[in-house]
Formats: sequence, C-alpha cells, structure tokens
Amino acid sequence: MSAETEGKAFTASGTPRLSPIELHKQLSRAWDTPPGLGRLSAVNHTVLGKRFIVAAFVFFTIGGALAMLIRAQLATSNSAFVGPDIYNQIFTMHGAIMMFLFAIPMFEGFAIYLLPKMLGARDMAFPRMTAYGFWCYVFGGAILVIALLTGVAPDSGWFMYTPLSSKPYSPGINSDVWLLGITFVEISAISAAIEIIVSVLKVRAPGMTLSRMPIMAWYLLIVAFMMLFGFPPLILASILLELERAFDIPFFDPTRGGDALLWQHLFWLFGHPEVYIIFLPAAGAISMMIPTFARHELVGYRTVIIAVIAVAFLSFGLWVHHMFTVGIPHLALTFFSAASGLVAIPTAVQIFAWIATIASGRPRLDVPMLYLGGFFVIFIIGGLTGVMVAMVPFNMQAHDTHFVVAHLHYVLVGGFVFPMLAAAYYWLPHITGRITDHKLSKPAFWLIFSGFNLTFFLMHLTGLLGMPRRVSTYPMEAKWDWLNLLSSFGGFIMTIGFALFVIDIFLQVRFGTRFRRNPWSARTLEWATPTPPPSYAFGSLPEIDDRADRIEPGQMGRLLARGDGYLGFTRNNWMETLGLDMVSARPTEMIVLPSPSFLPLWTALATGSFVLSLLFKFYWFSLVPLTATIVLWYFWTFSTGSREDCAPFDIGRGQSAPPHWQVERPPSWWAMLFAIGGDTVLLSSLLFGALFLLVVAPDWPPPTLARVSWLLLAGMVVGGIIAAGAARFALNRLLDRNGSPLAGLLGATAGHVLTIVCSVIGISELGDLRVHAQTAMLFAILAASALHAGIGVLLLIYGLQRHWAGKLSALRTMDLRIGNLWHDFTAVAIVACVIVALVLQVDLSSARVR
Amino acid sequence: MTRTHPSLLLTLAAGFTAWAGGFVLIYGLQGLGCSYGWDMIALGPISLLRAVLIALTLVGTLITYLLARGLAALHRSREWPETENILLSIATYAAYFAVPATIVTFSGVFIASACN
Repeated sequence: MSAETEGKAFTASGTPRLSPIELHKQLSRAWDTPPGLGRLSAVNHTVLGKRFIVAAFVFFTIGGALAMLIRAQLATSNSAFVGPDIYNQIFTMHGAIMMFLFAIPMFEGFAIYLLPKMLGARDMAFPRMTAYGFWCYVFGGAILVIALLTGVAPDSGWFMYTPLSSKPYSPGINSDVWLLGITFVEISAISAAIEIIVSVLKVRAPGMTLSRMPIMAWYLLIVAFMMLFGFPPLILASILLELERAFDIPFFDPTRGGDALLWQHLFWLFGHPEVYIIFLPAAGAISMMIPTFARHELVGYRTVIIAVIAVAFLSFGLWVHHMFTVGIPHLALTFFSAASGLVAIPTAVQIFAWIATIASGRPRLDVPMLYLGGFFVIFIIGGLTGVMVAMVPFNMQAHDTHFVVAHLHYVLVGGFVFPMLAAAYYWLPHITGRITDHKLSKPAFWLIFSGFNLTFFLMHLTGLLGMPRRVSTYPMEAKWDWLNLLSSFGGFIMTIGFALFVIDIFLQVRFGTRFRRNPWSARTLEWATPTPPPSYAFGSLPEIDDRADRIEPGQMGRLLARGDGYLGFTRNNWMETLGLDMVSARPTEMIVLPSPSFLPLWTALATGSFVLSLLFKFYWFSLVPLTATIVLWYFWTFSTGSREDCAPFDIGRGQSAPPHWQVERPPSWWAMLFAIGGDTVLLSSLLFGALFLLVVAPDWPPPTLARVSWLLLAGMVVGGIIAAGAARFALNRLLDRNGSPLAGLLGATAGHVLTIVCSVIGISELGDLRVHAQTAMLFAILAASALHAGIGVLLLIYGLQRHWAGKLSALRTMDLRIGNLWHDFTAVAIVACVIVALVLQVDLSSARVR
Repeated sequence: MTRTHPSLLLTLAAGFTAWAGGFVLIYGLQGLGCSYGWDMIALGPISLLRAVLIALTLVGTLITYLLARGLAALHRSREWPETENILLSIATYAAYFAVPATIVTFSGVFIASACN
C-alpha cells in the first residue's frame, strides 16, 4: 500500500475523501443484506459462507447421530436394536450425508466465506449463484432427511451399486431419493466449483499475481477443477440409473446388454477423486494455519503447488482400486495399484513441507495446533493403511471388511474433520470478533481423539478377523463382541467430545471476549478486514506487491478502511469489485455485482419442485417447474448490462477501468468456458459408457441392431454447424459498426431446431427403448445432442431478448460471445455423438472373443 | 507491460495431462485388445496386445519427458517476469514428476497377465 495518499483530503482522482465512518455507512447501504424476511434474499459471501457452514454442521450432527445408531447396533452380537431394513437405511444415509451433505458443503462454506477476503476482493464472482447453490443444497439435503424420517431413505449403500439399487431389487422410491436428491445437491457443488475457479483466476486484489496468492487459493483452485471434472460422471450415472428405474431403459442390466460395472466405473471415477476433493481444502487450511503458529512462512510454496497438481491428476487414476475384486484383468489392476501407491508421494511432500515449516520456525502450541497434531497422527495412519489397500493381494483379503471402514475413517476424519475443527478455532475469531476464554477446547480434543482411535483402530482388527461391512449383526461364535463393544464405547466418547466442541463454540460466539483484529498474528489478507467482517469485506481494495502471506494485516487494514486502496467510495449504490488480468493481475474491468435478490430462492424452489415431480413420477407435470426454472433464470438477467456504452470508470488510485459488460472476457465468459469443460467430461463419460458396453458388456450383439438413418445423423451435424456459423455471423454483424445481429441469431436458432428435430425423429425410429442397451445408448446419445441444441436455443432467445432490450452494441457483445462458446462446443459435441452413434450401429461385438 | 496469454496457465497441467492421456489410451486399448483377442496373436516372443501396450508406454514416457524438456527450454529461453517465471518453473517440475509417474503406472505392461 502506497503511503503517498495518506493524509490527503482528496483521492488521487480528485474526488473528496470520505471519513472511514462515512465510507463504512455508504458501503453498508450498498452491500448489506436487508433485515427480516429480506435475509432470504442474501447473496453476500460472508452471510452465505456462514450459512453453508452452519447447515453442513447440522447435517454432520444428523450423520453423527446415525453413526451412533450403527455403533449401538454393532456393540454386541445378534443385536435386535434395529432390523436389517432400517440398518441398511442408517448406514447408507450416514455415508451419503457425511460425503455429500457435510464434507463438500463444509469446504464450500469455508471457501465462500474466506476466499474473497484472502484474495482482497469484496465478494465472489457470482453472488446469486452462491445463493442458488446454497438453496439447492439445503432443499436437496432436506429431501434426503425427510426420506429418512419417513422410512424411505436410500438403503443400497452410499455408492448405490447396481443391481441392488435397480428396480427389481429396490422397488420403492428409496434409490430414487438418492439419485435425484444427490444430483440436486450436486448442482450446488458444480456451481460452487465454477464460481471458485473464476473468482480465484479473475477476482483478486490488483497486484496479487497467481504466484503471490495465499497457498489456500491454489488448493481451492485445483480442488474446484477436480470437482468440475469429477462430479459429472456421477451426475451422468445417476441420470442413467434413474432412466433405467423410471422407464426400464437398460444401461446397467446385464441381461439386456447393460453392465453393472459401468455404474461402478462411473461412480468411482467420481468417488475416488472425491476423497482428495475433501482432503485438499483441509490441507489448504493446514497450510494457512501452520505458518501462523510456526511463525515462519510455508516452506516449499512452489513444491507444495506441484504436489497438489500431482495429487489432483493421480487421484483420477485410482478409481479401480475400489473394484479390485470384480474380475478385471491383472494388467489393468497394476495400473491402478501403481497409481494408488504413487499418490502417497505428493501427499507426503505436503506433510514434510508442514513439518519443515514447524521445524524452521518458532512454533507455539495453541488450540488449533492441538487439533492439527491430531490430524498428523490420524491422517498418517490412514495414509499408511491406504498404501496397504492399494496393493492388490492385501486388498483382496481386506476387501469389504471393517479394515476398509477403519481406513476410510482415518483418512476422512483425520484428513478433513480434525483440520476443520482446527480451522473452526482458527477462523472463529474472524467470524465473531471474539476469542474464547473457556478451556473446553482441550478436553473436547482429547475426548474426540481418544474416542476416535478407540472406535476405529479396533476396526482394523475386526476387519482382519474377517468382519464384513454393511451387515446388521454377527454371530456370537465369531468372537468379535469385545472389539465391537470397545469400538462402540469409543464412539460414544467421541460424541461427548463433539458435544463439548459445540458448547465451546456456542460459549465463544455468545460470551467470548471482544478482540482486536488478528488475534493469532497471522500474515494473510483475510485478517485485514474488521472482525466480524462487514458485508463489503474491505473499505477499499489493496494493491499487493509481495507474496500475500507476508502482509501486515493490522497496518493494511487501517489504510484500507479509510479508503486508501481501489474503489474506496460508492457509486450509484452499486456493489463493485475489480476483475484482473489472470497472469499480470492488473485491473482490467470493474465488476458490478448484483444486489440482494429473492430470485435464487425462487429458482431453487422451482428446481426442487422439478426434482420432487420426478421423484413422485409426475413426469408430465415436471415440465411446469422445469419451465418455471428456466423463466426465472431469464429474470436473473433483467437487472444486468446496460443500454448505453460507458466510458471507463474511476477505480481509485488514479486508474480507470471499463465495466465488465464491455470487456472481451468478463467473469461470465470464463464461467461458460469452465461449464463447458465440465459438460465435456459428462458427455465423454456417456460416450465412454456406450463404447464400454459395446466392448465389454455381456449379451452383445443385440438380437436386432437398432439403427438411425444416416440422413438424420447428417441433419444433426449440419444443424450444429449452421448454428455455430450463424451465431458467429451475428456477433460479427454487431462488431461491424453496430449492425443488427437479428438475422444471425434467427439463423442459429434454425440450425439448433434442425438438430433437435433430427434427433427426435431419430429417437422415434429406435422403437422400443427397453429392448437392449444398444438402443438405450443410442437414445441417450441422441437425447444429449438434442439437449445441447435446446440449451443453444435458450441462449439464442436470451441473445434476442438482449438485442430487443437495447443491451447489445459493438462494445457490449458479452452476451453473444458467451452464447457463441456454447454454439461452437455444441457443434463439436454433436459430431462426437454422431460418430459414436455410427459405431454403435456396426456389429463390432460379434468379433469379440471374450 | 507485455500481456501474457492466459493459456500459459495450461502449462501447469501439461505433464500430467500427457500422463492422463496415456492412461486413457493404454487402459482403453487393454480392454479392447482383450475383447478382440489381440493377446492370442503372437508377435515374436510376445503377443500383439503386449507389444502395442509396451510401445504405447514407451511412447507415452518419451512424450512426457520431451514435454518436460520443452517446458524447461521455454523457461530458460528468456528472462520472464516474476509470475511467468514461477508458473513455468512449477509447470516444468510437475512435468518432470509426471515422467516417473508414467513409468511406474504402466510398468505392469512388461510382466502382468494381460487378460486374466
């Protein structure tokens, strides 16, 4: 922060300087969430981050209560505490809640709350998406919990293996609740992933280049990419299984050319990266906390980034280690076994970096470090047993036993829960502006730590003795009673520890001593905000000229609060932050963020109604809430953009920048690009699934090969190309002295409609979709093509609406360029779909020898 | 100030993208070869399937190594600004790490039974 403007009554741009109090009042007027019912319109990252964290903790409590029921059931042999039907629901929901409703949303909450403050921004890139994601998460979670309370919760295990989860073996709606509810929640995860990526890459403080970012931003960036590429296979698998369950269209039924292993591949392609998606944000938090308490900056900043990149990739090459016993050839097993062992190396690099940081500094032991000590012990044990189960021979012995239960809890509780408990104690003073005077945190730690080890260490032994997972009881003759009784005893000790933790947090929030900014003497930017933070985070935005973990937050905070940085004023009551060039970190645009709005809530309610309609089999009615969702999304756009070209705006410190709707690549352009990246994975998974069945699945070839006319397939491709070409023409017309894009937009619409028509006729030619997986896959591929074209039409309608509203000009082309990304992608996607559709119609499976 | 293209960021993932591409190709061809009996076609002392997989492993390793060398050469090619310098060094070392990762991951092609 330059000192040259200190003490002047005018800013560098000549406008009168406001007093810090007046600046606070003006910014609060623009940024605060309205009181009362207006709280439901919140789009602010501080508010929503806290809500995510609280909601995730509520679900954690529910999942924990279910764990207690599991331990009560298994405490003794031949237990009649609950029957097998209820037990199946309990362990399924325990896993599903902890993975989908606790771990991921908890990390999202931390990211949403902290990221803008760490990056020196005023909010995330897409505040309304944050709000929409939050409501989708809460509503999706509520569907699952209500199902649990009404006795129709999912009961096929958290990984929903077919054929157990298929209609013949799970005829109720239990599996549908999982497939639809979890997919609903995944909307939240995908939207958070895109938002985190764009926010990290585009919405930082000027001067904060990527190489100066706090290490946690690197972690979150890489994890968000993992989510973007890891979740689509699960979403696809859920859609296909729901189609099979609802309409008997076979994708996983081996008697009709499907394959249950396809589900396992798609699920674990998501499921194993998921473990690292959960661990890495916690590792990011650890990398922030340890330097503070070691009083030494992180050792090996670049090495840690390399390690995280390596973990991110390698974690996608491990998925089959969950399937070592399904009969895959030994050669393929070696790939996954080797990758499973390899991933321990970059993980260990991070651990050694943390140890080196502690060793290089002058460490002081405080409560967060105590919990991090617990993390080190537990996670390293989990990592070592991970290497054990990565080895095929041992895995085959331990598969589906309690050894695996012990391993996964050591990894996930050690790798996520303990760091999050540490993080809670570390950042709670930031959230509340108070520090704890109470000493409950230490007995809470020892109860959780000892209770955890008593519970789960013994499961290694019961597992090695042969106790299987997912069975509701065991015979006395097995002689597992005493180990299980001690495990259950440990479980209850752990619960008492968590109860003490909750009481301690409550006491701090309610009665903690108010404290000045930065109680831990941290050196990162989030501590430069007042605590508790105001809605706008920073009175003005800093200029960063060194690594962002070498900051003096106290001094910088005072300068920012008095408006010495960028945007230290208000304008039109707008919510403003800065967009940067990704690499050089110089300001390229002024981003005007949307005000509080009920639209995310209404849209999530409409989306939830769509999900419920599908759940209760009201398929035709489901079109109503689906239409409502789309229409509401259009409403989101009404308040954005401008009807006239604007000159660059003053952003303070003598600089100016154009508004985001007048730059070539604003955050929303990047968001579309990354969304397409995620969609590419989804579509590739579908095409992989089709080829997988063709090459591997039993019962091929089908009795009669279903066929789609080549003319229709050609029509689909031509439609896609016309749409992409015409949309480019529309943009070029606009850029060419404000010409009308109307003809181009209408031409592009015609192209997409041609694709849709050809696809629909092609589907109608397939005949009975229930006959064989070949027909089912052709249907899915044609439907995917039509869906992409349909989304293209919606984007073109949006373009037309912007044109008629006068919001397009040669300078304001953002809306069309975002659409063009989609139209180009759709053209390529349709070509890929058509190629695979053609391959599926050739009788290649007759030549198979296996 | 010279503006660096955002595609520089893609170099961070270059080495392991080569590893991932090799993974998809080798695992896919292993499944395809087993289904269509390439393991029953002798090619000298080894089967056609094993020959293909070994060739792909060697080519994949070579590509990953050349990529790492290329990134290192790009990094050394001129005085880069601070950020670009750090990003390229991260990209180079990540790519070098992908080389042994490629060898270890696919080392089974030399010994393990291909289709049983």
